Amino acid sequence: MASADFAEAPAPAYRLLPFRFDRWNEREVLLVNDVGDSAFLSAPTFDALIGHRLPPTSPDYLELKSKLFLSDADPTIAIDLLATRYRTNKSFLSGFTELHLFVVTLRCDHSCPYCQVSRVKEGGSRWDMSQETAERAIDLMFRSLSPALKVEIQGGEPLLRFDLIRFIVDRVLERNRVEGRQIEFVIATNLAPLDDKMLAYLKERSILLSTSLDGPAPLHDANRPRPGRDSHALVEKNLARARTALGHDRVSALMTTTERSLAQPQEIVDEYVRLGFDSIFLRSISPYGFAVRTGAAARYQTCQFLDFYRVALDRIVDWNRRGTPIREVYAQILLTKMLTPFPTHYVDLQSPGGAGTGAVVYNYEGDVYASDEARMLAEMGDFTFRLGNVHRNSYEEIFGGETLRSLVASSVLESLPGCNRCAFLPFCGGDPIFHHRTQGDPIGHRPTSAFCAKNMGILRHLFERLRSGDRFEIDLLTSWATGLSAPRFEVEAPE
Amino acid sequence: MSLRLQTQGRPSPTLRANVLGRISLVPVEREVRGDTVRLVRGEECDADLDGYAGILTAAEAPETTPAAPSISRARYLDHLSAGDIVLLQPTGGVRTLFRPASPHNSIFTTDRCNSYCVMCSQPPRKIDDSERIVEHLRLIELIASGAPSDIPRELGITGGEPTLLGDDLLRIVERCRDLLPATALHILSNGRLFYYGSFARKLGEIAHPDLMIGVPLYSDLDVEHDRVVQAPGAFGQTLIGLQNLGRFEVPVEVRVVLHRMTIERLLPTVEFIYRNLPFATHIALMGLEPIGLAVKNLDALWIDPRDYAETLEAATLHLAARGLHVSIYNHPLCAVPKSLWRFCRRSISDWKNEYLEDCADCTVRGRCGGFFASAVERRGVLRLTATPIAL
Amino acid sequence: MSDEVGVTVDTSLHSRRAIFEACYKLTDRAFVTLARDRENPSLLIVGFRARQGSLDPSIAGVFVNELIDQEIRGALDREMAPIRDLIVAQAFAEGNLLDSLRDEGDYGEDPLGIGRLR
Repeated sequence: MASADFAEAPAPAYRLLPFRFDRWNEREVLLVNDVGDSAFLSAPTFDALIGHRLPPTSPDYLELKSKLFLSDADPTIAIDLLATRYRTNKSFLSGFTELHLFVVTLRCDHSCPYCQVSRVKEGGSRWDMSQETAERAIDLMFRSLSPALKVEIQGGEPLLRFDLIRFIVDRVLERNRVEGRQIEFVIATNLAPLDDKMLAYLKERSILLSTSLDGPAPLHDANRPRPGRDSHALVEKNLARARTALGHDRVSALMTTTERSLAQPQEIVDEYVRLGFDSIFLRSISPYGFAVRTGAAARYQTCQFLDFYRVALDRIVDWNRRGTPIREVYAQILLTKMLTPFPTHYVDLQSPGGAGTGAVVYNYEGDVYASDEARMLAEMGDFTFRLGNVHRNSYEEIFGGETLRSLVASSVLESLPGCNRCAFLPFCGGDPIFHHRTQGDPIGHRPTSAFCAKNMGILRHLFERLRSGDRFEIDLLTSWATGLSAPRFEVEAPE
Repeated sequence: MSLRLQTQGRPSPTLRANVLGRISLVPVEREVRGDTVRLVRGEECDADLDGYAGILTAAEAPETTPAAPSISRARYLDHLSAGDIVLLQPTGGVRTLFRPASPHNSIFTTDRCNSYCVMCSQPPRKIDDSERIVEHLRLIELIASGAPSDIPRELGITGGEPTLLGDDLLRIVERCRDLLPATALHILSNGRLFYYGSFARKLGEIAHPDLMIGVPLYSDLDVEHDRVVQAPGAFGQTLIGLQNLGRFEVPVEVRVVLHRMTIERLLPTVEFIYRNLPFATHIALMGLEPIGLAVKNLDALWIDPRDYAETLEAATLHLAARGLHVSIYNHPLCAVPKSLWRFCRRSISDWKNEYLEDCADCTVRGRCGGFFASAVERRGVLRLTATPIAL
Repeated sequence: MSDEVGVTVDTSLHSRRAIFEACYKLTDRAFVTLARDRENPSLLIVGFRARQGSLDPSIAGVFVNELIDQEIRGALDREMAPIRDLIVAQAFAEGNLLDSLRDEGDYGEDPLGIGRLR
């Protein structure tokens, strides 16, 4: 076999620049370099490349040279370009903590089995955040150097303590008069308690809403039970109210996939379209909180999720063909990494990971966690990823302490077994908290990791679509990555 | 139209060095005569001609005491208007350096260049013209002291290669910042000397309010780019230069001239630009001007734009879809697909801009950039045609 | 379908890292054991036993191909390591590690002759 004697190849006329590869199928190899540029080669061409026998006039050679997979002249130019690209890819690090989640209460009127938040029945303020705790959390937030800060208020159901929301928002804005950052507010809510007074305040302060919509009513209500079994109806009603008051694009929705959802990919997409959303985030179920207790997470395989995902994505592309714009957010994040030189800010797809660094959670009683998931583990008695407490620890202890340091260390893909030689490394993340939960240690076991299988499945699927899709589909997926509408469909503007 | 920018006459013995001045067709007060070149027409007779920077006439030299620097028996003068800034040379040359009526004014900083592009429209000369910095700075002063309505919206800095002026280029940019703060400055450069980071840094530190550097990149491959510019190592130097300009926040435009040596790899080239130079604020895809060195190499270079319509469309839309501002320069609208019209600009400088006879029947002539005068001149060889569009 | 498959690997031809990487990759579908051949200690016996149900015997072929690929990856990593390190170092360095002239070079003096007239 040719590859075996590459060690004895003649002196190289070209240098290989860093890349990783994947045997795409029997005939082809996928190469991805350290900054996320990719190329497909036939197996024999790949052998010639690594054996330093690829002829310099061949089209493959020129493509690889252009894409910075090889260099045949002074390599410092290519190294400089790659270094600049690498720094841009990792530039999400420079702002450090951008996303700050405030859990203002654990109380909630829903009892969703997959809930990532341990909800307690309504009643009593011992499950609510105090103003003092909020104040201290805000202090810590402004210690971050990021010029842009995103404040996400969640719960339980945060609207149950709207007064606290007002307190936090007003305090942050007051502090920001001196700080001068770019601040964005989001409230993650099931919309049920929404009233006009709240809407007036939200409008005044330009606060965004993010809600859960799991699909059409029967599915949504089955996934997200509340007394009255009318979660969906309430979402639909209050969605309309919120949009009227705040603006159509000021309310976004997330969905969570359960076993029930797996059979209804098209119906879920159709429901998002029906309710006027232009984006949908197809998330897999997380193994935390009540999800584990009710056994929901244990029940399905990643390949079933991938089947679901592919069918849903087909449906989404189809809607776009028919003139209804809707994009899938997870695909958008991955496509941004594949097709553009720009970084993304989704914490679970970063190396080093974004948990605790890019995003942090301040719990109602002041405990600080690296993520929602870390907080959920604590609810179950596992405090591994608690970074500290706003009342007892300093900024340095929380953000510079051993807990966060080892968490970050276990999320640097370049140093993890199974990841460091994977062709998809530039597009992926580690999610140590997920692996701690499902496999018993933060590094985890790649071959049986559901997170890995999901990401590899979706990435392979997206590469396939880009290779074999028609012009429309390729332009569509590209437009998701670049955030722009595909120019072919623009009406020519008169000059 | 193509306009005259040069004429010739007889210099007076007192015209011993280059003189710059603003054309006036009427006498002016003493205080401003030092900035003025008095263009004396026909039988005009001023009370006195003292103190002018220079005198220009088609007639015999005027008699003045002391003898003013003058050029007499000038062959042509009709091309000159009040407010134009001219250069009177001891050789008798009269060069128009600035025309308020034109949207395309440039300071021609030097004849020297460190590249030698196969299609160079302004072939370089190895002469030491570094003392001309005095004239460039004077020109900026004169532009700035003209009538307020004559202050240009945009000013080019060209050559040759302006970066060869080194610190003098920085002085030019500074003077423009100080005297022409409302004028956008567009420097055309091969970018190679910005390999030295300190040069890019100092340019950035001037903090000119509206500066852009236009830098050509002809390929995604070093050998191809270097072959076009005929300077080994240029590709790498230009890329490092561009990176440095980006680092120090100097706005950058990347230009690709389209001809036989560049068109084949246009799509990989624009993808390369997108991936590696995403900070570029503008990309210009430019039609070839058949003048200068391009004429010598015309057979190897010229390709009718209709023959690369598909490639141009793919490349332009590729960039536009990625959020880069793209313009197509020097292409008449009938030569490109309609999908690209919104990217086409009227880019050809007015003084060398012409249309063909058939263009008279075209309904979109008003927004079309037309042709280079030099292309129209060679329309036979180039098989140049215009297809009137009926909308 | 068998319950256990064994593959003999000559450790003089294959690196330890490649062997472990290939074994690691297959631990989703098999339990993997490693043992030295008693007669010839340079030979390693890699044993695969089904995690669930019976074992697909093609696992042996999958393993040996993966082994080759991991050798390639190891060789590529060694070849690319210096440039990879340089890229990361340069990405986060304050100055320019590649050519100090880019930071310190005087554009007036032009030590590299970039401004040489053509």
